[in-house]
Amino acid sequence: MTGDKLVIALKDISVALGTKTVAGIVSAEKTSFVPGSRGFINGVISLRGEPVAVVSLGRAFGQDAQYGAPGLHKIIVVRDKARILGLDIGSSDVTFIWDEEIKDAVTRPPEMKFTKGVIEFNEWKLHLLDWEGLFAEATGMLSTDGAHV
Amino acid sequence: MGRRMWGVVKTLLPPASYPPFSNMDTSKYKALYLQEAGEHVAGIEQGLLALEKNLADSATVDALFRHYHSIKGMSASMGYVPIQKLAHAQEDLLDNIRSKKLSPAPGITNTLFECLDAMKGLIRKVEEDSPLGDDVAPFAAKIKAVMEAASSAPEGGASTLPPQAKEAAVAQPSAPAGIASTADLKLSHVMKVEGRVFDELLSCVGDLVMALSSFKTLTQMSRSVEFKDGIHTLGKAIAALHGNILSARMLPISDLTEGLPRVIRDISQRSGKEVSLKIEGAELKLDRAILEGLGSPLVHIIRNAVDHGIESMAEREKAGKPREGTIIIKAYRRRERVIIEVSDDGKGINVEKIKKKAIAAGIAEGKVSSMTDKEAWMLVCLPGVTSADTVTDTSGRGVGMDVVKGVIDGLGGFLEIESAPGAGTRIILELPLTTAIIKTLLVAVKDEIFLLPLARIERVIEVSCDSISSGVYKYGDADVPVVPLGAALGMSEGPDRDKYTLIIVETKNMSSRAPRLNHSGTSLSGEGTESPEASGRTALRVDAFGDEIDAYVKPLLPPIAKLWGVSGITVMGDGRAVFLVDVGQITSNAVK
Repeated sequence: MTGDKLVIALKDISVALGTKTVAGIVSAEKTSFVPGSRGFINGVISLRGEPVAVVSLGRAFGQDAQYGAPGLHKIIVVRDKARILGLDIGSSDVTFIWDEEIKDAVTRPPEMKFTKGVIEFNEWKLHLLDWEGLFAEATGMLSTDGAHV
Repeated sequence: MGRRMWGVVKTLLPPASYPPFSNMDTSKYKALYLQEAGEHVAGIEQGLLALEKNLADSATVDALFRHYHSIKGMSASMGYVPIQKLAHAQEDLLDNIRSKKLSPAPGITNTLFECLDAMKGLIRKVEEDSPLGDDVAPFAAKIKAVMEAASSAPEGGASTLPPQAKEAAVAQPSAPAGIASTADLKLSHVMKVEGRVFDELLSCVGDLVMALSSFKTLTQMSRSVEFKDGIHTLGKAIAALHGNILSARMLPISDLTEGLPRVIRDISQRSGKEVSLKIEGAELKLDRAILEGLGSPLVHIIRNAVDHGIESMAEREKAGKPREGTIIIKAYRRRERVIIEVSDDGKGINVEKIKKKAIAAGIAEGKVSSMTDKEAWMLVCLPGVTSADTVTDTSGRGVGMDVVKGVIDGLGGFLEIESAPGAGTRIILELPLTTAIIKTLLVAVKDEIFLLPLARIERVIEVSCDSISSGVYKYGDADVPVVPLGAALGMSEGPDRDKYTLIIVETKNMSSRAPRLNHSGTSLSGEGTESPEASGRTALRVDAFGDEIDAYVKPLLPPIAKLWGVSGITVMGDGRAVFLVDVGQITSNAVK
């Protein structure tokens, strides 16, 4: 849980993810349609020539309306060795918290789905994003094995 | 595909006699021969150098023996008799040392070096297509003399060679006329390159195509003739590079099918059946990646055919069939695709049994009972549904055909099944020749764009809304079903338009075109009935169409790896990600 964090201020919650996983931040007015998409699947964009599936972070946390609104969306692209995923945060604000600031903060167990824990810091609750869990859920939602034979 | 082709050639030969391929064209193996012979020669050279430093190194002697033995076998198979004889003589010498009949002595290594030079010269002649007229008898005689001298030496003592042998044994290596010496270093014309290098090269060309696409977009906004000319030249160079890389990646289907006779032998022996295999069109070439992906599906289909398709010998005799079952693999080209059919002359698929198993597996009874035979045959591609009565070590559990279909789909191909009770089953695999960069047509639905593979498109027609209101379009004499592409992909329908574009595509319903099976699995008889879905075409309805583009299509990776209706994705010059429509999947589902 150590390392600098990128913090996304969603409507009611603040979500944090390690800056090392962030491959880029893209502004996009529109994502390409993904066949059979549903739930929090938003579409697909490209980052440096690579296709990236995008999920709506707000909708993943049950905050519908404002995140589907038209206009320029911020998409945070996260990746590890095997996976890449775009997190559409709509027009939510983004900030950073450095490791030194939170090194003494207490990390508590997760309180909601798609989070790995909560960092309590200066009366601020930062939900650590489990983007790998989001990725797995999206994979399941978009898998159509045997559905069309 | 990582194995060497030479290994295949060797296993086809009777090991003891090494007869050459007298009635076979060996020229296609020459490059591989030269490549592998070069490796063995290099190994021998290193081994002899090591042996000079440590004459008692048995591991080196063993390694040398294997190198000579390999060259002997390879040369015999190719009909290069002088090389075979020379390698054999040297192998004999090594064998005597290995079995302690001879002690290695400096004179022996000198003689072996001399013979090696002679062998290298002969191999070079093979490379140059010169006749191998050199008489290797003098070298064989030298070896024999050395062996005789060494064997007559007192045990544990230095060799006391007779004058002739001594002269031979201590002579400095000297190459006879026309035979190169070790001082003449030359690289082979044949290069061994790992397959992944071509994968990476193709990926680089894909990136170049995408960059070119961006530049082309820019040229539309530019008035600079020089800029446009430069982009045109760049485009031509990339196309040439792409063509050369693709050509280097193409391998004959025979590379894959050479191992099948053994597979069939093993499976048929285990099942107590007699099965023969015929292969037609194995010289057709496919991209390495596709051929590689085809290996497991092909073996699985054949296992199924032997285990569950072809009857026991007693059953076949009772049915008036030959005792021996036949599996035929037939490959042929259809436009820019390759069709591989695997037919057996077994009992065929019992449709009613399959339907019952599908219902038991959870498919709605109403849906199953309304299926045509053709649709019902495809049920064997559902997980857990099998036509088999019994489970063998290798098949019959309903695990496999779903995987086979998944692999073929993943390769951008299409799988179909035909079967006739008592006559046999035919699995038809339709595959692209190459992967990665394909010619496509841009189409638009609402504000989304998609790519359609050009190879599947027969015609593009603009029509009025009224002319397709019944759901079919009169195309020539046939009623072609109209499929709204957007709806098929799960998009919401927009307001009606006055005009639409219809993309007439080939429908992979081959029952109307493909021959019916008879007992031999090959004969033509009868055509299917002509219904809209059997007309062989479907009209995909889109709002508009755009340019033809060379698209570098990337595979779909998680989380979008298993999307329905699309088979790949590309990134356009403007950065937009665009899906390649899986025409086969869309039409197969839509015509139901």
